[in-house]
Amino acid sequence: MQDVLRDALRGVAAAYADIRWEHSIATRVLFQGRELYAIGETVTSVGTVRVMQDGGWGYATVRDPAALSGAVEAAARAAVMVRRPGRRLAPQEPEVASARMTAAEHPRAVPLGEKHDVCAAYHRQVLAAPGVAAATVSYLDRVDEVTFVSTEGRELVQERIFTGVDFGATMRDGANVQMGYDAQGGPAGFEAARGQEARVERAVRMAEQLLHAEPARGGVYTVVLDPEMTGVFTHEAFGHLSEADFTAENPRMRETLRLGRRLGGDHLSITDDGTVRDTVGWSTWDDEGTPTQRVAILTGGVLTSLLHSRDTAAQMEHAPTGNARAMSGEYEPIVRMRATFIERGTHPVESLFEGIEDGYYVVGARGGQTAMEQFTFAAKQAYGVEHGKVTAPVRDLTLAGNVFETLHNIEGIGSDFALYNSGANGGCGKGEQWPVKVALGGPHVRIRNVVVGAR
Amino acid sequence: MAMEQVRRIIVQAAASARAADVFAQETREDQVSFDGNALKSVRSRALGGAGLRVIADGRVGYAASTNPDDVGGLVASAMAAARFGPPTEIALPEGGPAPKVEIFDPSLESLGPERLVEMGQAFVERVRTALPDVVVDVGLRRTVGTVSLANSSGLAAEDHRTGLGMIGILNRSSDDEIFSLYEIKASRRAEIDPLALADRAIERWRMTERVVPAPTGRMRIMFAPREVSAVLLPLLVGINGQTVVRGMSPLADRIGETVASPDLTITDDGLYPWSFGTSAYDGEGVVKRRTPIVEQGVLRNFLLDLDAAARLGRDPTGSAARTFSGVPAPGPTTLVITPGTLSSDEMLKELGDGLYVEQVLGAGQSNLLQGAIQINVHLGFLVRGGEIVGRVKDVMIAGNGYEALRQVVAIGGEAEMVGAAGPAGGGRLFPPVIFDGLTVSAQTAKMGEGKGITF
Repeated sequence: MQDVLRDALRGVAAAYADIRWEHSIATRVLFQGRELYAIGETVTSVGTVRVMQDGGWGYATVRDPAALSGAVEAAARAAVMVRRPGRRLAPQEPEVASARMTAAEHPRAVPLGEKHDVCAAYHRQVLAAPGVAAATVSYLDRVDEVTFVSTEGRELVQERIFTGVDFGATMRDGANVQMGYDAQGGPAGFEAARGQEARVERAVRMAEQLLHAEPARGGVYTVVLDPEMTGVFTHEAFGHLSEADFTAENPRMRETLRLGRRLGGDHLSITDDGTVRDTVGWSTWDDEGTPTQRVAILTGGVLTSLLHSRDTAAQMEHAPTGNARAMSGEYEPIVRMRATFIERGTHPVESLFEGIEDGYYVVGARGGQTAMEQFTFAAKQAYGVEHGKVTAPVRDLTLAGNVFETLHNIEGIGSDFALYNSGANGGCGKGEQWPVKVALGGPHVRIRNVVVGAR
Repeated sequence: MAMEQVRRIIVQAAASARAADVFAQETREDQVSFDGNALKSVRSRALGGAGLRVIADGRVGYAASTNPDDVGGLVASAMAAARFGPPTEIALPEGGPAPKVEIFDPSLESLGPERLVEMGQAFVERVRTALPDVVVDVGLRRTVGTVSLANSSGLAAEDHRTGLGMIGILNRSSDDEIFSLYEIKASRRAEIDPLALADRAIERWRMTERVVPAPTGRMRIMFAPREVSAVLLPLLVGINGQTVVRGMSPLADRIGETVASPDLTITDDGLYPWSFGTSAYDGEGVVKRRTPIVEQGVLRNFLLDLDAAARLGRDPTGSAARTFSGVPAPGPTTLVITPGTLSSDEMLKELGDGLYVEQVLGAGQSNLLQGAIQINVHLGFLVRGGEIVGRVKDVMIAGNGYEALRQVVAIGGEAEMVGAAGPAGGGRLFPPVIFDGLTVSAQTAKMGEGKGITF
């Protein structure tokens, strides 16, 4: 494939061009309700050409390698339509290299029947729990062979592997219907899908707890977030703002998110790290061939770096950070997060609850959404906090806030730490590229003045 | 994909399987992107593939590929999956006279990227002339595609479709605020006017310039057409055939009963002209049609694919949504709420004192099976005495969607076609609707200084 890509790029009249071809095989097994719903495999083989000429970008995507030469010409013509003189790309060195993820049980080596049977056993486990009305087991594995060739002599071949399985338990008590969730995901083979009985049990217990929980009360509260909710908060409330393609072309945004600006207290540091090997954001190179790295976005409350592609790095005169990711071969890379977290703090977790007269403890996140300065999340589980003690479980708790205020409202950062990966169905959405697998987390965190929405 | 290739797949599949169907797509797409007031990139894509579903020994398996030539591989993969697949008793439709639908506009087929660039530039210039400080991003996409469907019962159908979509985003930022507002329009014919879209954006932008304290408590809320879906989501989950099959729908036994206000009539219209939800057949070859969901408050139908229909002993409703890479599942096509008679001014008068919501965040993160609605208002306005007073910030709405449907205060006379998210798309032809019975909570600017406005 490298030869095919190199040949297609030969003679292109442009300042820069690259082709990224992805050959992916994905297997899905889905149990829903009381039975198996679907099982099958999808093969996709697609390549995207990028050309930069006169500072403008042209892209072309095809699924037939024989169409690549035509695609290069089309992308070059498209780039010329754009014309933004004076714009460059951050430089890269020539290199020919490859990197393959290894796995104890490579997904392509495990028979489909085995995948079915392991998922079926989890499904039976959920259904066997008393009070369970329906169960979901959603399994996905994906192997991507990514070949990248550029006119700057960078030729990189990567094999990426993902395996994930999501569990859902639905319990009902009359008109009261509640769902518990848990999910496993990672850059690993089928070995990561085995031995998840404890996770399944967590999903069941979550549903049970929600069934007997009172609804949360709406209002403004001090809340303690568990590491998973800390991660979702960090990713949604702050992470997306640090993606430089949001700021690079907008002089006012550049000023609002200028390096050196204080956005939180001294105790707050936030990182995005593409080098953590057991996270789904891990990769040797990003989808433009830039090596990934650990990026200190916020240090001691002060903005110290953004997340970059080669394009945003050049426009803003920073160094690229290896955050250019394309969801699949059908897309051009855009700036995405990898593993995003608040750095460990100094407070023992128990101390974070002291002095909270009437608040909430939020555990896990069902989802989150941001419209830049505003964010909103739904908790998986939550508990009241009264006179410094965790009390009864509550349900239907959602949080909302404004990033500029909420980051400053962080009162305490725990000394613990955990990271969570997207499961089979989860991930981050940006523009049309959803879901991209990401990792997120941090310590327990205490925040004052958070809006809780409820009945 | 040529019908020839699709037929070849069916012939080979039918040699091993009792029954089979193929859903194939081929799409050519041109897209232009403006970032920070200027054209940034131009993209072309040629995408597609085929998905094969086989029924062998009473079990279903599927396989999908972007490569149409490896017929043997596709059939073998689907047959291998069927060995472990779920049992089914569905009978694939033979086809019949296809309804005439309007989904192909020849003028869109010949609309090239240069025209898309012109449209984007017209939008940017119109906005910047009226609002010089605003930074504008625009995305335009034109698609031309073919969907081919064939099965072992003799159905063979192909249609050609065009599409045009435009999104314009207006941005402002300062040290205290990052705010964006978007306008979006999509159609299958060339009826998008960038200047009209720009004028709408400008009008809405001007409405956001004044920020006022938010109200709290139970109140009437008017949802703009684009956001009525947020209140309808629980109903859409409840009428989904697969939710009913799993015993999870609160509406399971309620066909023929009153579930909403007598003013409310909602129809699923699979034939609505120029809508993204429209085609002659659904994803399984069942003819599309108009299906009443709610008729003057009375529940009439669920949305059923072949599997849900067989299990519930009902007729399929032509509701199978499908992309080539997955399995069919029920979904709405174009949902039409029968409009009322009030003009937009009359609607505001009817609202009186309450909230007018234009954009929400976080719809779908709540317990939809129970009807829970918990959303963050990204763009909303305080209304007093029937007049819009100003924009409110940091506001959440909570309530129960099923209860809200029973408390419809008024339905506007001016419906607007708004799109639906997701790969299988769809349309929503909604007027503005005023609901009662929902609760608003809000964060005050400073803690302890009052609780905002109450009525």
